[in-house]
Amino acid sequence: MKLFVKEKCDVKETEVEIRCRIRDREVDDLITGIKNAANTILGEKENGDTCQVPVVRILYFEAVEGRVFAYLDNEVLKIKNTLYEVEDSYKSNHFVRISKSAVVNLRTVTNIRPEEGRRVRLELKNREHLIVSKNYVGCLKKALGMKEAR
Amino acid sequence: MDRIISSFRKAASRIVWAYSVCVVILALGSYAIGGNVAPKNIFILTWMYLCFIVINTVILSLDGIKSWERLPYLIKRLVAMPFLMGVAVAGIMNLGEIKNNYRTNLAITVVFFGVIYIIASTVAYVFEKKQTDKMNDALMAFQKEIAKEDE
Repeated sequence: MKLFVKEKCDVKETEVEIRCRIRDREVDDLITGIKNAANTILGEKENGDTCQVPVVRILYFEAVEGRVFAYLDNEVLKIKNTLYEVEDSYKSNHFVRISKSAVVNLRTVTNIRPEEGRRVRLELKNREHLIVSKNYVGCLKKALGMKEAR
Repeated sequence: MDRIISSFRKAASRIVWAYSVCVVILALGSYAIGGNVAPKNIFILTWMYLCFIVINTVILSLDGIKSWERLPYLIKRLVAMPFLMGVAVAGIMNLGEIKNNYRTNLAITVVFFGVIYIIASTVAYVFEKKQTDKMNDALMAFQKEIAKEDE
Protein backbone atom coordinates (compact mmCIF):
# COMPACT_ATOMS: atom_id res chain seq x y z
CA MET A 1 0.00 0.00 0.00
CA LYS A 2 1.32 3.43 -0.95
CA LEU A 3 0.56 6.53 1.06
CA PHE A 4 0.64 10.03 -0.42
CA VAL A 5 0.05 13.28 1.48
CA LYS A 6 -0.45 16.40 -0.62
CA GLU A 7 -0.78 19.87 0.90
CA LYS A 8 -3.04 22.27 -0.99
CA CYS A 9 -3.86 25.80 0.16
CA ASP A 10 -7.24 25.95 -1.61
CA VAL A 11 -8.69 22.88 0.16
CA LYS A 12 -11.18 23.95 2.83
CA GLU A 13 -11.60 20.59 4.56
CA THR A 14 -9.13 17.69 4.67
CA GLU A 15 -10.03 15.15 2.01
CA VAL A 16 -9.00 11.49 1.85
CA GLU A 17 -9.33 9.58 -1.39
CA ILE A 18 -8.61 5.87 -1.52
CA ARG A 19 -7.63 4.39 -4.88
CA CYS A 20 -7.82 0.64 -5.02
CA ARG A 21 -8.22 -2.17 -7.53
CA ILE A 22 -11.12 -3.71 -5.55
CA ARG A 23 -12.81 -2.80 -2.28
CA ASP A 24 -11.62 -5.60 -0.03
CA ARG A 25 -11.40 -6.08 3.75
CA GLU A 26 -8.15 -4.10 3.95
CA VAL A 27 -9.77 -1.10 2.28
CA ASP A 28 -12.84 -1.36 4.54
CA ASP A 29 -10.60 -1.46 7.61
CA LEU A 30 -8.79 1.58 6.30
CA ILE A 31 -12.07 3.44 5.84
CA THR A 32 -13.19 2.51 9.37
CA GLY A 33 -9.81 3.57 10.76
CA ILE A 34 -9.92 6.96 9.04
CA LYS A 35 -13.52 7.55 10.11
CA ASN A 36 -12.75 6.60 13.70
CA ALA A 37 -9.62 8.76 13.82
CA ALA A 38 -11.63 11.77 12.71
CA ASN A 39 -14.47 11.24 15.15
CA THR A 40 -13.26 10.06 18.50
CA ILE A 41 -13.77 11.33 21.99
CA LEU A 42 -11.50 11.04 24.99
CA GLY A 43 -13.17 9.60 28.08
CA GLU A 44 -12.28 8.39 31.54
CA LYS A 45 -13.34 4.92 32.66
CA GLU A 46 -14.59 4.13 36.17
CA ASN A 47 -11.14 2.83 37.15
CA GLY A 48 -9.52 6.11 36.09
CA ASP A 49 -8.02 4.85 32.81
CA THR A 50 -8.46 7.15 29.84
CA CYS A 51 -9.48 5.82 26.46
CA GLN A 52 -10.46 7.13 23.06
CA VAL A 53 -13.72 5.84 21.59
CA PRO A 54 -15.36 6.46 18.21
CA VAL A 55 -18.29 8.83 18.59
CA VAL A 56 -20.54 6.47 16.59
CA ARG A 57 -20.25 3.91 19.41
CA ILE A 58 -21.76 6.31 21.94
CA LEU A 59 -25.48 5.80 22.60
CA TYR A 60 -26.06 9.05 24.45
CA PHE A 61 -24.46 11.72 26.61
CA GLU A 62 -25.96 12.66 29.95
CA ALA A 63 -25.16 15.42 32.41
CA VAL A 64 -25.37 14.26 36.02
CA GLU A 65 -24.59 16.70 38.85
CA GLY A 66 -22.49 18.94 36.62
CA ARG A 67 -20.50 16.12 35.02
CA VAL A 68 -21.02 14.74 31.54
CA PHE A 69 -21.01 11.00 30.89
CA ALA A 70 -20.94 9.12 27.60
CA TYR A 71 -22.95 5.88 27.63
CA LEU A 72 -21.75 3.03 25.43
CA ASP A 73 -23.23 -0.45 25.03
CA ASN A 74 -21.65 -1.77 28.21
CA GLU A 75 -19.58 1.00 29.71
CA VAL A 76 -19.83 4.57 30.89
CA LEU A 77 -17.12 7.17 30.33
CA LYS A 78 -16.72 10.49 32.07
CA ILE A 79 -15.83 13.21 29.56
CA LYS A 80 -14.47 16.71 29.98
CA ASN A 81 -16.71 18.54 27.49
CA THR A 82 -19.92 20.27 28.52
CA LEU A 83 -23.25 19.11 27.12
CA TYR A 84 -23.42 22.27 24.97
CA GLU A 85 -20.01 21.48 23.46
CA VAL A 86 -21.06 17.88 22.85
CA GLU A 87 -24.29 19.02 21.19
CA ASP A 88 -22.42 21.50 18.95
CA SER A 89 -19.48 19.25 18.09
CA TYR A 90 -21.44 16.14 17.22
CA LYS A 91 -24.50 17.60 15.51
CA SER A 92 -23.06 16.39 12.21
CA ASN A 93 -22.74 12.89 13.68
CA HIS A 94 -26.51 12.82 14.19
CA PHE A 95 -26.53 13.64 17.90
CA VAL A 96 -29.51 15.63 19.05
CA ARG A 97 -30.51 17.26 22.35
CA ILE A 98 -33.58 15.56 23.88
CA SER A 99 -33.73 17.20 27.32
CA LYS A 100 -31.85 19.63 29.52
CA SER A 101 -29.55 16.81 30.53
CA ALA A 102 -29.25 14.44 27.55
CA VAL A 103 -28.00 14.31 23.97
CA VAL A 104 -28.80 11.14 22.03
CA ASN A 105 -27.20 9.44 19.03
CA LEU A 106 -30.03 9.01 16.51
CA ARG A 107 -28.25 6.03 14.94
CA THR A 108 -28.90 4.05 18.11
CA VAL A 109 -32.64 4.78 18.42
CA THR A 110 -34.74 1.76 17.49
CA ASN A 111 -38.24 2.90 18.39
CA ILE A 112 -40.21 5.99 19.39
CA ARG A 113 -43.27 5.69 21.64
CA PRO A 114 -45.73 8.15 23.15
CA GLU A 115 -45.29 9.22 26.74
CA GLU A 116 -47.46 11.20 29.13
CA GLY A 117 -47.50 14.99 28.95
CA ARG A 118 -46.74 15.35 25.20
CA ARG A 119 -43.32 13.79 25.68
CA VAL A 120 -41.95 10.85 23.74
CA ARG A 121 -39.90 7.87 24.79
CA LEU A 122 -36.92 6.59 22.79
CA GLU A 123 -35.91 2.96 22.88
CA LEU A 124 -32.21 2.46 22.19
CA LYS A 125 -30.54 -0.56 20.64
CA ASN A 126 -29.34 -1.71 24.09
CA ARG A 127 -33.00 -1.73 25.30
CA GLU A 128 -32.51 1.39 27.41
CA HIS A 129 -35.22 4.05 27.39
CA LEU A 130 -34.81 7.82 27.27
CA ILE A 131 -37.54 10.41 27.65
CA VAL A 132 -37.65 13.37 25.26
CA SER A 133 -38.93 16.48 27.08
CA LYS A 134 -41.88 18.15 25.38
CA ASN A 135 -39.75 21.26 24.72
CA TYR A 136 -37.27 19.17 22.72
CA VAL A 137 -39.74 17.06 20.69
CA GLY A 138 -39.60 19.75 17.97
CA CYS A 139 -35.78 19.49 17.83
CA LEU A 140 -36.05 15.72 17.46
CA LYS A 141 -38.61 16.07 14.66
CA LYS A 142 -36.38 18.59 12.92
CA ALA A 143 -33.38 16.27 13.24
CA LEU A 144 -35.46 13.48 11.68
CA GLY A 145 -36.34 15.81 8.81
CA MET A 146 -40.00 16.10 9.79
CA LYS A 147 -40.49 19.81 10.34
CA GLU A 148 -38.81 23.03 11.30
CA ALA A 149 -38.41 23.46 15.07
CA ARG A 150 -40.33 26.41 16.45
CA MET B 1 -35.79 16.93 46.56
CA ASP B 2 -35.22 19.00 43.40
CA ARG B 3 -37.20 16.44 41.44
CA ILE B 4 -40.15 16.70 43.86
CA ILE B 5 -40.11 20.51 43.71
CA SER B 6 -40.04 20.55 39.91
CA SER B 7 -42.77 17.86 39.81
CA PHE B 8 -44.89 19.96 42.18
CA ARG B 9 -44.46 23.01 39.94
CA LYS B 10 -45.47 21.04 36.85
CA ALA B 11 -48.45 19.42 38.61
CA ALA B 12 -49.64 22.74 40.05
CA SER B 13 -49.37 24.55 36.72
CA ARG B 14 -51.43 21.82 35.03
CA ILE B 15 -54.14 21.69 37.70
CA VAL B 16 -54.58 25.32 38.76
CA TRP B 17 -56.30 26.28 35.49
CA ALA B 18 -58.75 23.36 35.87
CA TYR B 19 -59.48 24.51 39.44
CA SER B 20 -60.17 28.06 38.24
CA VAL B 21 -62.53 26.80 35.51
CA CYS B 22 -64.38 24.63 38.07
CA VAL B 23 -64.81 27.57 40.46
CA VAL B 24 -66.23 29.70 37.63
CA ILE B 25 -68.62 26.90 36.56
CA LEU B 26 -69.72 26.42 40.19
CA ALA B 27 -70.32 30.16 40.57
CA LEU B 28 -72.27 30.38 37.29
CA GLY B 29 -74.31 27.30 38.24
CA SER B 30 -75.20 28.75 41.63
CA TYR B 31 -76.07 32.11 40.03
CA ALA B 32 -78.30 30.35 37.47
CA ILE B 33 -80.35 28.64 40.16
CA GLY B 34 -80.56 31.89 42.09
CA GLY B 35 -78.37 31.01 45.05
CA ASN B 36 -74.91 31.83 46.38
CA VAL B 37 -71.84 29.63 46.18
CA ALA B 38 -71.76 27.62 49.41
CA PRO B 39 -68.39 27.98 51.23
CA LYS B 40 -68.56 24.23 51.86
CA ASN B 41 -68.53 23.56 48.11
CA ILE B 42 -65.51 25.81 47.56
CA PHE B 43 -63.78 24.00 50.41
CA ILE B 44 -64.55 20.58 48.84
CA LEU B 45 -63.36 21.77 45.43
CA THR B 46 -60.15 23.15 46.93
CA TRP B 47 -59.57 19.88 48.81
CA MET B 48 -60.11 17.88 45.59
CA TYR B 49 -57.63 19.92 43.59
CA LEU B 50 -55.04 19.92 46.36
CA CYS B 51 -55.30 16.11 46.36
CA PHE B 52 -54.93 16.08 42.55
CA ILE B 53 -51.80 18.21 42.86
CA VAL B 54 -50.34 15.82 45.45
CA ILE B 55 -51.17 12.72 43.35
CA ASN B 56 -49.75 14.28 40.18
CA THR B 57 -46.62 15.42 42.03
CA VAL B 58 -46.02 11.84 43.19
CA ILE B 59 -46.66 10.46 39.68
CA LEU B 60 -44.33 13.01 38.05
CA SER B 61 -41.66 12.34 40.69
CA LEU B 62 -41.67 8.66 39.71
CA ASP B 63 -40.37 9.66 36.27
CA GLY B 64 -36.75 9.42 37.36
CA ILE B 65 -37.16 5.76 38.37
CA LYS B 66 -36.09 3.43 35.54
CA SER B 67 -38.61 0.64 36.29
CA TRP B 68 -41.48 3.18 36.25
CA GLU B 69 -40.17 4.79 33.07
CA ARG B 70 -40.23 1.42 31.31
CA LEU B 71 -43.99 0.97 31.92
CA PRO B 72 -46.16 1.65 28.88
CA TYR B 73 -48.18 4.88 28.74
CA LEU B 74 -51.59 3.25 29.32
CA ILE B 75 -50.37 1.17 32.29
CA LYS B 76 -49.08 4.33 33.97
CA ARG B 77 -52.47 5.95 33.45
CA LEU B 78 -54.22 2.90 34.91
CA VAL B 79 -51.94 2.89 37.96
CA ALA B 80 -52.87 6.53 38.63
CA MET B 81 -56.61 5.91 38.04
CA PRO B 82 -57.70 4.53 41.46
CA PHE B 83 -56.12 7.46 43.33
CA LEU B 84 -57.61 10.09 41.05
CA MET B 85 -60.93 8.23 41.05
CA GLY B 86 -61.03 8.06 44.84
CA VAL B 87 -60.64 11.83 45.17
CA ALA B 88 -62.98 12.67 42.29
CA VAL B 89 -65.76 10.34 43.44
CA ALA B 90 -65.52 11.48 47.09
CA GLY B 91 -65.60 15.11 45.95
CA ILE B 92 -68.54 14.66 43.58
CA MET B 93 -70.56 12.72 46.17
CA ASN B 94 -70.03 15.52 48.70
CA LEU B 95 -70.63 18.33 46.22
CA GLY B 96 -73.88 16.72 45.08
CA GLU B 97 -74.89 16.00 48.71
CA ILE B 98 -76.04 12.55 47.64
CA LYS B 99 -77.58 10.74 50.60
CA ASN B 100 -80.44 8.74 49.04
CA ASN B 101 -79.49 5.47 47.34
CA TYR B 102 -75.90 6.19 48.38
CA ARG B 103 -74.44 2.86 47.20
CA THR B 104 -76.19 2.93 43.81
CA ASN B 105 -75.14 6.51 43.18
CA LEU B 106 -71.60 5.73 44.34
CA ALA B 107 -71.40 2.80 41.92
CA ILE B 108 -72.78 4.93 39.07
CA THR B 109 -70.25 7.70 39.80
CA VAL B 110 -67.36 5.20 39.95
CA VAL B 111 -68.37 3.56 36.65
CA PHE B 112 -68.97 6.96 35.02
CA PHE B 113 -65.58 8.31 36.13
CA GLY B 114 -63.82 5.06 35.15
CA VAL B 115 -65.35 5.01 31.67
CA ILE B 116 -64.62 8.70 31.03
CA TYR B 117 -61.05 8.32 32.33
CA ILE B 118 -60.33 5.23 30.20
CA ILE B 119 -61.88 6.77 27.07
CA ALA B 120 -59.97 10.04 27.56
CA SER B 121 -56.69 8.17 28.16
CA THR B 122 -57.23 5.95 25.11
CA VAL B 123 -58.09 8.88 22.85
CA ALA B 124 -55.01 10.77 24.07
CA TYR B 125 -52.88 7.66 23.52
CA VAL B 126 -54.21 7.08 19.99
CA PHE B 127 -53.54 10.72 19.10
CA GLU B 128 -50.00 10.59 20.51
CA LYS B 129 -49.40 7.19 18.86
CA LYS B 130 -50.25 8.66 15.44
CA GLN B 131 -47.60 11.33 16.03
CA THR B 132 -44.96 8.81 17.09
CA ASP B 133 -45.82 6.49 14.18
CA LYS B 134 -44.96 9.36 11.84
CA MET B 135 -41.75 9.90 13.81
CA ASN B 136 -40.90 6.19 13.52
CA ASP B 137 -41.38 6.36 9.74
CA ALA B 138 -39.13 9.42 9.63
CA LEU B 139 -36.58 7.62 11.82
CA MET B 140 -36.54 4.59 9.47
CA ALA B 141 -36.03 6.83 6.42
CA PHE B 142 -33.36 8.80 8.28
CA GLN B 143 -31.44 5.68 9.31
CA LYS B 144 -31.60 4.28 5.78
CA GLU B 145 -30.14 7.57 4.55
CA ILE B 146 -27.32 7.35 7.12
CA ALA B 147 -26.61 3.75 6.11
CA LYS B 148 -26.34 4.86 2.48
CA GLU B 149 -24.03 7.72 3.49
CA ASP B 150 -21.85 5.26 5.41
CA GLU B 151 -21.69 2.98 2.37
